[in-house]
Amino acid sequence: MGIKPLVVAARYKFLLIVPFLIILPIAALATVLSIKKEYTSTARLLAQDSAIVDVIGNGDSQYNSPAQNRSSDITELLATDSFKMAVAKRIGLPTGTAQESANSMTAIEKGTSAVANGRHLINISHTSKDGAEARDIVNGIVAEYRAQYSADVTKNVSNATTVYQSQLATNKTALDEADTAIGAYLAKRTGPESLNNDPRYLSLQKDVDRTQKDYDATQQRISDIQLQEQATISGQDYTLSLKDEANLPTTAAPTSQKKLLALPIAGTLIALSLAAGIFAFLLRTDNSIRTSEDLEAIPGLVMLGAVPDISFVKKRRWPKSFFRIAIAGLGVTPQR
Amino acid sequence: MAIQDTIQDRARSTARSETVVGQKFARLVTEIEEEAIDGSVFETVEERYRQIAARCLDTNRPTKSQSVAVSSASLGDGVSSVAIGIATAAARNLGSDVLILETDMQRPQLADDFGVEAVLGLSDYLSSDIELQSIVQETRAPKVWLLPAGRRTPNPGPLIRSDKFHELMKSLHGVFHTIIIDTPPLLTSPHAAVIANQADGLVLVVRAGHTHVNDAAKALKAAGQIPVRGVVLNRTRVWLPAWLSRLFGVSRYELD
Repeated sequence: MGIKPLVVAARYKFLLIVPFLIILPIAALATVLSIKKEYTSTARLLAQDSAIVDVIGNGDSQYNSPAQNRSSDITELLATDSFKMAVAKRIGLPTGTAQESANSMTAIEKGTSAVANGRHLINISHTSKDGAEARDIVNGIVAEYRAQYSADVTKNVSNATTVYQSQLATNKTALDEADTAIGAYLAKRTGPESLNNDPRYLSLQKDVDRTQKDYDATQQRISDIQLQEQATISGQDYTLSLKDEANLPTTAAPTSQKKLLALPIAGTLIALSLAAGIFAFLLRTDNSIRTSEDLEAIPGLVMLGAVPDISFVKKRRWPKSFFRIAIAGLGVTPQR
Repeated sequence: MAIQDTIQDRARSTARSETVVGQKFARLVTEIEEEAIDGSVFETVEERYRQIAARCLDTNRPTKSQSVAVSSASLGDGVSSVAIGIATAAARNLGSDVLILETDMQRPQLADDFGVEAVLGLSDYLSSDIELQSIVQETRAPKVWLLPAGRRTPNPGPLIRSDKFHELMKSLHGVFHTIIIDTPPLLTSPHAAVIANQADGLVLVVRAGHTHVNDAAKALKAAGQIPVRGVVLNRTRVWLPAWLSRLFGVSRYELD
């Protein structure tokens, strides 16, 4: 089928297609306009280096900042059902049935993000159509994470202390050996030259300084652990503190551009597909005469001529085409 | 003959359009004249009717009267429009008097459409003893006359099949050079073929995008032995947008 028969057919069937071309995009637009506004609530946590976490590892990367490590923790926990259920219970979301639990967990995970903002700050946000729900979920996540973090710290204090005590003993042995070595050397040493020019002495002294430094650092670690343990027990863990609590959002977040575009585009595509389908169906089932070629189906017929339809000429409020053709025939040809 | 005198008298009247054309028709003309519309479409329509008239009428017999029945398969195909178009074009082409004979007595309409004061028409003439000149009406179009269907008649069969109708056709052939018979649809009116048989030939009107091939074929079969002069494809739609037509310098209409 050539392009002309298609265009001709479209001329005759266009009015049947128009409703689909108009109604569906309008419906899509109405859907977009009826999209409920969304609210975003955000809390901010401040993360510091942690002696305990450093020693027990906890999946942290030494190359990441504390904020990056903690935000990764939160993101991973949000993928676990146990964490989401704990948050749901903490903020009172329904968890009575399996379906309710699933809905609550979906509500918590969907629209939540934990992103490092600089080296120490973590932004935890949740976007929801219900501002109060967004606030509660964020505060729930923060509270649950902090509780789990504190529990981890408390649980691992003895492990960390053991590790550092062992390291301290090693450091102490090394320091004693260095002290013994330098003392033995000085006792045996003869000669008038200055110690500052004695390479052996300088090397032994360097060993003493290094082992002393290691020993002091390990001792400091142990002090830090004890301090952090005390702070954690009293709820004042300085390695993870709440900077800003999530508040009830007062202004709606702008609706996603994707949503604004996707629905009308989808509506238009569906409309076009439907229109094309209907058009193809009509074309296939319709055997009305539209062109002189269609008349060839009746043998022996002579085509006298074709008269254009004047009802499609601009001014639609005219009387019926009969009058126009009659008037045209009478020679009343209006001029522009 | 009395009717010939009447025709000549009326044709001489300088104020005929003011007196004969009814208020409704005059108002429509005024409205269309006042509106700035695409005049080229009307020019196309006029040109088409001139071609159609030239093809369906025998121009080689200037002295002998001829008649053509215009019909279609079903209602609403534009038979009356085409009949008027052919009649007005024929009057111009041939320069002789042309009569439009409206025969659909169940749905008389042309008198109203033309705005002629036609109280009486074909049905009245066939059912009573009125004079022929009292029912033939002049129209605003030069040399175009109208014999309207007259009063609505629920059962026009006996009138159509009467000898008087046959006699009427003979009389009209004696007066008018060309008679265009506006005939009811062939597939819906049992009298259409009888009326068409009074004519020298049949023009079948097919409404583009509306009349099916099967219906057109059935209509031709219903017409029987009447010589078919051809088909007019009515109300074809412009298939090319105006700007494309200008760009490529091709016509926007069918069969150009």
